[in-house]
Amino acid sequence: MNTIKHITIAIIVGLIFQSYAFSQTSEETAKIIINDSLKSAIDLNGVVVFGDSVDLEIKTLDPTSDLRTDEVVQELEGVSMIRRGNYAAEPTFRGMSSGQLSVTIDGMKIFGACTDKMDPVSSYVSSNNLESVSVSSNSNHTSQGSNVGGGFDFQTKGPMFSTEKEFSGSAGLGYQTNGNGRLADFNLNYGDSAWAVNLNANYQKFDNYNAGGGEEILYTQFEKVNFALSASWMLSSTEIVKAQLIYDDAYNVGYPALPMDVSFAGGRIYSLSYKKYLKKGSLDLKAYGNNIEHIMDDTKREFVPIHMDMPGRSDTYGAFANTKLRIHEKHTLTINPDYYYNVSFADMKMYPNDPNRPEEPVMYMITWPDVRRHSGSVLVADKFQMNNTSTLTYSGKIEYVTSKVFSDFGLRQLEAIGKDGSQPSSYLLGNVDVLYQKELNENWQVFGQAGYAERQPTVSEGFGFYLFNSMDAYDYIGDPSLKKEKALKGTLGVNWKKNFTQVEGKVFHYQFQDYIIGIVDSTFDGMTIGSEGVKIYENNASASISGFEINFATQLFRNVKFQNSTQFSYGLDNDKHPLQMIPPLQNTTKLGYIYKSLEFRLEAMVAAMQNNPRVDAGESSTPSYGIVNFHAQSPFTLFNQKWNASFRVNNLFDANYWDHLDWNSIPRPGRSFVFKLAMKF
Amino acid sequence: MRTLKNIAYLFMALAVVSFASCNNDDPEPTPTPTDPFAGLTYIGETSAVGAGANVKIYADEPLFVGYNNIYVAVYDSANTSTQLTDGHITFMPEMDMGMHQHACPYEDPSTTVDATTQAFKGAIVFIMPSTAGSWTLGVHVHNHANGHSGMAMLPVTVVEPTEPKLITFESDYDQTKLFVTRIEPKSPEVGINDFTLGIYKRESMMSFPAVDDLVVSMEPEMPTMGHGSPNNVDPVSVGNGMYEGKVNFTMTGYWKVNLDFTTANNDTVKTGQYFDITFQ
Repeated sequence: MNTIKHITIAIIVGLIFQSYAFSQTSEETAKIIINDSLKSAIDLNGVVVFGDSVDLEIKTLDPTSDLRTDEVVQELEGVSMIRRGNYAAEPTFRGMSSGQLSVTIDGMKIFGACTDKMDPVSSYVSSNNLESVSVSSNSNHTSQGSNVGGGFDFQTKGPMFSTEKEFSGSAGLGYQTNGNGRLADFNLNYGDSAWAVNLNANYQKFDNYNAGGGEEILYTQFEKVNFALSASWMLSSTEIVKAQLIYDDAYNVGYPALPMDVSFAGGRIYSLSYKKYLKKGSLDLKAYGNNIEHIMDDTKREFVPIHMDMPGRSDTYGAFANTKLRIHEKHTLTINPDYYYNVSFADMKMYPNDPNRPEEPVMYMITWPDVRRHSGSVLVADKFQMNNTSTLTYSGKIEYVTSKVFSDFGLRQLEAIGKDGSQPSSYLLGNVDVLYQKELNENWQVFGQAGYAERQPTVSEGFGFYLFNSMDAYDYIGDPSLKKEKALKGTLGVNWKKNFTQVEGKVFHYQFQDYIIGIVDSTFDGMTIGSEGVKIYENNASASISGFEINFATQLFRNVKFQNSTQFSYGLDNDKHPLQMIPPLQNTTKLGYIYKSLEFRLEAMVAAMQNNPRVDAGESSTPSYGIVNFHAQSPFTLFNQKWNASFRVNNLFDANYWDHLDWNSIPRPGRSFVFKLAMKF
Repeated sequence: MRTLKNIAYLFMALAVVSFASCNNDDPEPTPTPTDPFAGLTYIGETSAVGAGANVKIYADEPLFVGYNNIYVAVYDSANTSTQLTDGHITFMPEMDMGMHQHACPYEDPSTTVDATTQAFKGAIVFIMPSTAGSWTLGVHVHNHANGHSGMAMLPVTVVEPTEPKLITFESDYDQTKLFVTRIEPKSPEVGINDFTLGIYKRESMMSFPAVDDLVVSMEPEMPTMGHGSPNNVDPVSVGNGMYEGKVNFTMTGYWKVNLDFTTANNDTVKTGQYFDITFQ
């Protein structure tokens, strides 16, 4: 019994330490906790809660939620989604995207396998397997990989040890009216005091949805299945070994904003990790790999001038350590060495169909020329508890990353367009970040964050070959000799709380140097049929993004919570032209009401008109919009069995709208009713 | 201390991972060919009567309508294992069409000896296939070993390649009959390719001298996709009828290389000419 107690304490201490550690940098971090177990430390949407005294969270999710991963990520403060269809929206943070952000799943580096960014990393995890999602503007938030904008980290559920009930789990079925969506999920956990195994499954199948007003939006169907198997073994009272496997397949995914769909996207993600709780800290070791495959498909389209096959592959292998040590009563030191290796390959076959030239062979080109990238980095961070009211958290990361083209064919292609890819493209990258926070009194807290960050170009930016972007209708070509992108950034924030009310405001500014952006090169012909021409990735001398975020949360009555958040970003390039994919001013209001075990949530989201489009990026002004969502759920007991029923109405007033970040202004889904019934055991 | 040890283990683990992911792809050593004529196509052999020599004719590939490199290996007729490299070789190709005969453009090997094969190397631009008549390759040998001369006459077969390598047109400027042959790329591939044309004119039925004063503009295009390629270099005259430039292919498949010809004074000679180049 004693051992069990010891173990339990170790786990609890570990969890608290971990959440404590998270909260150290949470001032800049928006985080959604899906699993309830860690709820006390951090709450929803970046509203910082000091201790457990006030919980202003309005619950968005239960563990068997019917929300999809991208819908969960969208809830984070500062986050807007780029949509190309009804699947796998790409998260942006404060107007920054893809290569500017680092995205990890359980700390693992994963790179999408689609040259057209149709498979952001978030598409390879399932929402019912998520424990938390966090985003931070601190480039050292995740130790994996350099970035200028910060990063997202997805934490999946692990298996849970148990001393009471060996088997537990849930099974749910749901239906969504708009798009004929069929949803099913399943979770089974086995846990004793030494072993824990968890199997999680999720299935979704959607047909085309109707936009507000009833118009069917073609090519918005998808089907997805996700399995996650994980096992933990408690080696000793302070050591845990964990193995993890995620198997994610998506089929027949429509992308109405693009000329092609996806017949298959598959992710295989696996890892082996070791965790040790030390007397004054913890040590995590992890080795991992992932294999991503992505196959585009145009066979279901009506108008196909040339049938094409466009498969892509991305394989990543890596290992890292996270060491946290309380070296002094006022200093907590983090040292994270990290290594990863990525291979990206994509090619393209075009099938001629001229009946007068039946002998004409298939046209072939390589779009990602077998680029192999090695990266090694070390992150060192210290959290300095200066006194009772002030903390200073500072960190530095240094990374060496080198990429080389291994396809001779690819090298010749680059040569043909006047680019030399024969030598490795190597970058030495440095990131520093300093965060100072001070509690002025029991109501006021202020904080300031400053950082300098650098990033290397992505595979597409460095080596991509005629990658078609259907938003601006240009083919993009990479440049292996690009300079690294740099950013100086700062955030100032103030937080006020009293009784059951809390307000937080942040202003931020990013000053970029050598900002990587596609610039039209009129000496090139577009390759894709219908393309306007070619853009080549170049370093724009400077660019900037600034904006603010405001959050207000209060408890109106004992069982009524109110939350309102506003976010705004504004981006300019070197010539003072607007940057592309900058979200408009957005405001979200949430009202939560709890009656006995019944929970209600009413949500209104409005976005202002975006009248600063980047015209040469295919953008035009986007009208404002507003939508209202409603959600109700309640647990109940029937036949001696615990159940949870939920009912949701998305886009209650059937608004016909699209966001500025939705490619080619494809309208989003109109009103939809979602029913979900889950059994918990 | 245990922590330090743990960290040390970690670095070792990382080192192992980094080593494991480096792979050595040693290229296979290529065997050195022993036969100097390996890789060439044997066309035929005959004796150069009067020169005390036999000639064996080789080409890069079976003779075709267009620019053919011709290798003339000369042997002592008394001792056929002795290859002669001291001599002077000239060509006299002739097409017999029954009603009339004509020659075609060519480059005499003269005294030029190919380093690999020790054969005399020249070129012949066949301007029609053997289906139109019969080609005879006349090779005049001046054997410096014995000071004698003689003529070898070898009937040869010339085929029309699947994709024409020769275009023929009448100049809009001075009505001269011009012959433009694509010499490079021989084996087109994705990337930068040499683009070499040979341009000749018909002065008489037996005289087809090189033309060195034209200006050529070139533009490759992929008709199926409707695009071209960047960074091409127009072929410019380098003498002997040769025009050298660069053509870029950004993918495999069917390319059409469009050509316009003008005089140095920008008078139009011919527009709308092209070579099809298909490769996989």
